[in-house]
Amino acid sequence: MTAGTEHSLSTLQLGVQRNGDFILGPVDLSLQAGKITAICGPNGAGKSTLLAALAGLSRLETGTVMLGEEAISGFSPRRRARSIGFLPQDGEIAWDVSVRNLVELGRIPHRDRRSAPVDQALKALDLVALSDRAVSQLSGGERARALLARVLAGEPQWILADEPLAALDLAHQLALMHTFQENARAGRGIVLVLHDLSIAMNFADRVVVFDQGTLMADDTPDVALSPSVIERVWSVQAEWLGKPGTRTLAVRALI
Amino acid sequence: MTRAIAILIGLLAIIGPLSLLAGRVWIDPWSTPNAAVILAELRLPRAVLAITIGAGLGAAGAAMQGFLRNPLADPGLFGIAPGAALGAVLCLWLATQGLPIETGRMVPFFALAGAASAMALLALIAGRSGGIALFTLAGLMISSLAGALTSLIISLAPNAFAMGEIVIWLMGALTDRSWADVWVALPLTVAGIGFLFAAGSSLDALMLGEAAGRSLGVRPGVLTGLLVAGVGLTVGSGVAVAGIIGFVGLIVPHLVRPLTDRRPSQLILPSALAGGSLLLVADIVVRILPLVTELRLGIALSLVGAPFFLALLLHMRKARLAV
Repeated sequence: MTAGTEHSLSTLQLGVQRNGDFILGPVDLSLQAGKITAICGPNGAGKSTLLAALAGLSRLETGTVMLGEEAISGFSPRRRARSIGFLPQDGEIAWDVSVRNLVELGRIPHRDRRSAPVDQALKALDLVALSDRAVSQLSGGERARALLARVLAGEPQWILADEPLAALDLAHQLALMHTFQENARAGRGIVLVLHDLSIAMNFADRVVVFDQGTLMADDTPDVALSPSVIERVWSVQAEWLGKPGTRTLAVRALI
Repeated sequence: MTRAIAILIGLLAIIGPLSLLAGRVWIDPWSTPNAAVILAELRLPRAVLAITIGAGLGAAGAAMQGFLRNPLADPGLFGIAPGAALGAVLCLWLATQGLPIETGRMVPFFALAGAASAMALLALIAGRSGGIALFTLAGLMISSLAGALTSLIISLAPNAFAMGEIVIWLMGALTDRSWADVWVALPLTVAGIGFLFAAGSSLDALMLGEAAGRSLGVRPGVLTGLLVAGVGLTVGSGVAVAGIIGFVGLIVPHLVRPLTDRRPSQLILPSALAGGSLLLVADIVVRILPLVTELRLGIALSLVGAPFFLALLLHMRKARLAV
């Protein structure tokens, strides 16, 4: 794992424009490694835009993204790639490679195909038995695991994933969230765009809520996803049921 | 990859010597008169040229398919071949205008200048962003512009004979090529394949999409540059000495892909070897076919290539596969 100087990922007056209008920010955020941070918000809130900017993949109109003490724009693409793993939402795999070859792509920034991190990633996501299988033969859940293993194989300090649970059934959602928790405990910074507010409530250490590019809440899940915030941002009346850790959201009515 | 490479090198080792002996006249090295001269000055350069050009087209096709993440991509999409053809046709036309141009020597250089112009234009338009849509559209526009200018020049030919000469040249062939052509094409093609090979790991990363590719450290501008240079040198030098030869770049990566682990980087060298073999076989076939005039190599390959392409489309529709 990388040195302790990359313990925070923060933005200073980060702003992304399209056609002259800000679609995100300007926003100040400071995320800590060792935690799961969830980015939530309704459609068009700028969640994916924020995630791509944090990953250093966007051209910023204003502000900077800092990894530790350094501006990420000053990193070489390879150095940035070794520190920040990014899992896009679409999950494209253009060629029908084997699971092992897919996971080995995570080693590209390191210019090696060392087997230890690849084996570890395969093991962490329970893919050892499938490592020679072609990706076209995988189920949706296996495919999502293989794509996450690809990110883990690069041993990044930060893992940024855009709706990693989309299209997964409940058991696979749970398994994937446990993997993220293990990685957070191991000191990595985990940043997830999540649509499912219950998952964010039960698994995240911190939730940031966006609406139309503006930061609406940034706190522990209890506070950031309180019924009043949900009412203001999502325009529904809702309340949390159940005990902490297994809460569910009961949505009552549109406002 | 090693298995594919071993198989293909074995194949070349068999076809290579065969191609030297095959032709309208089969050579028996021990009894044919002047066998040594024919072999060294006619058939050997022709065989080396076939392998060189086929290798360039195969490698360029493999890299293009990797870059566009599409098994139907062809190096022709870049507009570099039409650019090279335009240069060659311009040279042939200038010669008919009484300019003191020795076409046999100058055509390759005009063609390379044409390829370089197309490359520069492509890099200028699509270079920095490196987006696939922009790239493909720019390539198509350069193609049609170069094609229109080529037709314009042909229509300006002073007489039917000159026009015929230009049109025939465009049809791609390896007839009567010499070592001089080899020394133009070989170094440029080797350099081009080198550029394409250097793009390999970026092409691998790109299989996860553009965003994930960049998150793995791919520099779009650098990748675009490597591909434009690689495809430009291989395809440009191929057109420069042999005219337009289609479909090799499309078919070959397809034939080879099942022999590899399907990573784009692992497809480039085997595609080069297979492309060389395919063009050498095709050239043997057009030489021994009992026709009055030799069938042009470019025509022969398109005759075989187009039905192959259609069969491929049908298969893909049936299997609903993207790969």
